[in-house]
Amino acid sequence: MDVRLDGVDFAYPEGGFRLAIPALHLGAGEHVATIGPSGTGKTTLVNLIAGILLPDRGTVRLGDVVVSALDDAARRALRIRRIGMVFQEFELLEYLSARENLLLPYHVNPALGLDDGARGRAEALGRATGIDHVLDRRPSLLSQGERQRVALCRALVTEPDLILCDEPTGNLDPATAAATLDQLFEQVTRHGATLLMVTHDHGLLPRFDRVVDMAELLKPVGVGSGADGSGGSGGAGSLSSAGTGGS
Amino acid sequence: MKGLALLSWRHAAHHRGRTLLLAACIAVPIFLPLATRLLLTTYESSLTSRAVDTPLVAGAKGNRFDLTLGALYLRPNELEAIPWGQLRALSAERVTAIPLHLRFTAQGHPVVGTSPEYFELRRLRAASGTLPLMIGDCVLGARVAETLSLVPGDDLYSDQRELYDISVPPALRMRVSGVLAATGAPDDDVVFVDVRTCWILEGLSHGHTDPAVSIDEKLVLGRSAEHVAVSPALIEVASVTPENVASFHVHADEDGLPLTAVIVVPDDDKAATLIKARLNASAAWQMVVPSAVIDDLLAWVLRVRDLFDSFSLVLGVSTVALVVLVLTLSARLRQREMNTLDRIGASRGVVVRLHAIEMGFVVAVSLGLALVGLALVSSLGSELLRALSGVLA
Repeated sequence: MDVRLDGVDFAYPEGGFRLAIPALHLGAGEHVATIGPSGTGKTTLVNLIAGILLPDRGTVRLGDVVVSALDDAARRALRIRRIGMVFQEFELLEYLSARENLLLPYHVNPALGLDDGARGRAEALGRATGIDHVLDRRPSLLSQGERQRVALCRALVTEPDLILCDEPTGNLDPATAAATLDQLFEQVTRHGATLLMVTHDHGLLPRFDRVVDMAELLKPVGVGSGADGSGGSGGAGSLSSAGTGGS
Repeated sequence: MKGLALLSWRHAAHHRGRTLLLAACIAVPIFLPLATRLLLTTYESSLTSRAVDTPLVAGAKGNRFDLTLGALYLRPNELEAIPWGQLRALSAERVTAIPLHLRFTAQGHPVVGTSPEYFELRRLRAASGTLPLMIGDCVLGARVAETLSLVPGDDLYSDQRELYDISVPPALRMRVSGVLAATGAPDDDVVFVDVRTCWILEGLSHGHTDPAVSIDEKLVLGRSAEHVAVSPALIEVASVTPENVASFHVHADEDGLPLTAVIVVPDDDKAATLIKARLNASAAWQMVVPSAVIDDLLAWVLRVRDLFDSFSLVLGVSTVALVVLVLTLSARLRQREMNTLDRIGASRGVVVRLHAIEMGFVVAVSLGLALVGLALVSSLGSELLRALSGVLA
C-alpha cells in the first residue's frame, strides 16, 4: 500500500509546533527510514499517517483511502486492519501473556474477528521470530529483545499493508537490535508491506530503500530536495518547527 | 465484547488484591443493611410466632417486658414471685394455667419448673424417653442433651447455690426421663422439671431418709427416740428415689409457694377478657398479652432498623465516593496503556468499556461476597440471635 501526503499542514492545538509537508510519497512495499533530531516532527508524521492526528490542511492517503477524510471510527478500523505499529517502549500490557499481547488488536476492535486463522498466524509469527517458547509468559518475565519481538508480532499479526515503527530498536542493545530488525525486514518483505521507521541509529540506514531526513526538510518550504518523494536523501516535503513537542 | 471481557478479567485477576479489596469495600454496604434486615426479620418472626402462641402471661406487677420475655424465653426476671395460690385461683376460671418457675440452673442450663401442659402448648415431643414429669425427674431440651451428652436414665445435678452455707439445700440429683426433639426455640436450651422439683431446690420441700437403713454410723453424731443427729458431710447431694418420694412435703403454706410467672390459656375470648380485667385490677399482679407487648418491642426494633438504614446510606455514599476515587486513580495509572490501545486502533469508547466491564466484575464479586455473607447469616440466623441475646442478657 502506498502512502501519500499532499499539502499537509498540522499544528497542535496548544501551539508551539507546526509541521508542513507539501508532498511525501512512500511507494507500496518500500522500506523508508526517517531520521532527524528530536522535536522535528518524526512521531507527528507517523501519527498523521496512522490517522491518530488529523492535518489542519491537506490530505493523507493510504492507497485509495483518504485517511484525513474518514471519521474517527473509520480511521480506527483502518488502523487496526491495515496498519501495524511498533513503539520504542514496546507498550505491552503487563497483565496479559505474550500470546494475548500478540493478539491484542483482535480484542480491542470488533473490526477484526479473532478466529483460528488469526491464532495460527500468531503461532507462526512466534515461531518465525523465535519467541514461541515464551508465549505463555508475562512481559515482565521476558528479555528486552523478546518483548520487542512480541510487539513486532502484534504489529504483524493482522497482516497489515503498512508498518509504522517509532524507534523500535531504541531500547535494545546493538546485537538484539540487529536481530530484531532482521526479523522485521523478513516479515515485512514476506508480506509485501510498506515500512516507515523512525530511528536515531544511522548505522541501520543502509538497510532501507530510502531515508527521509527531517533535519534536511527543516528548510523553508520549497527548498527541500524534490517534491515527489523521489530523489535526494529524503522523500519530499517541508517541515518547519517553532518549538518542541513534535517528535 | 468478549475480547474486552478477557482484558478486563485479566487485569482484575492480575491485580487480585486490589480487586478483592475493592469488592469487599462494595460488599460491606450491600451486606450490612440486608443482613440487619434479615436478622431483624428473623428476630421479629421468632418473637412474634412465640408470642402469638402464648395467649396471656400472669405475674407480679412490674416491667411488662421483663415478665413477657421471661415467660417466652424462659429467663428469670427481677419481678416478685407470684404465689401458687394465685395459680390455683386462676385455674378455677375457664382457663388453663401453666406454672413457670425460673430460678435455678443445672450444669449452667436454666431449670424450668412447669407442668405437662407446657409441652402441649409448645407442641414439644420427646425424641427419646418420656415427657410426663415426676418429681425429681427432668426432661432435657435437645441442645442441652447434646451439650451434656445425656440420655434418658442418666443423672443430672442441679447447680449448688452456696458451697459453704449448709442452710442452703444441696445439689439435687435428677433423673433424666426424656430428651425433647429439637425445635430451634429456647426450649432446646433448658432443663424441664416438675414445678414441685423447683421447690425442693428452693429448700421449701424435702423428704426424709430412713436412718436405720442408709446412714453410715460414722456420720451419726447422736440419737434420741425421735431424732438422729448426723454430720453435715452426709448431705452432699439430695435425690428423689422411689423409696423416699412419698416422704416429700412442705412445711409452709402451699398457696405461698413461689412461681416466676403463669402462662394462661383461656378457653375463649370472654374468659380472656374477664381474667385479664380481674387480675389487672389487683394491686399486686398483672396479666399481659405477649403479642401486644412484643408489638411494642418491635416498634422499637423497627426504629433501630431505620437508624441502621441511615447509617448504611451514609456508608453507601462514602463507598461510592471511594470507588470513584479508586477508578479515577486507576484510570490515571492506566493512561499509557489506554494511549497504546488508542494508537493501535482500539475502537472508540473501549477505555470506558474496559473500566465498566472490570467494575462489573468487581461488583459481581461484591454481590457474591454479600450473598455468601447473607447465606451464612440466614443459615446461622437463629444461632446468631441466640448468641446476641446471650451477650445482651
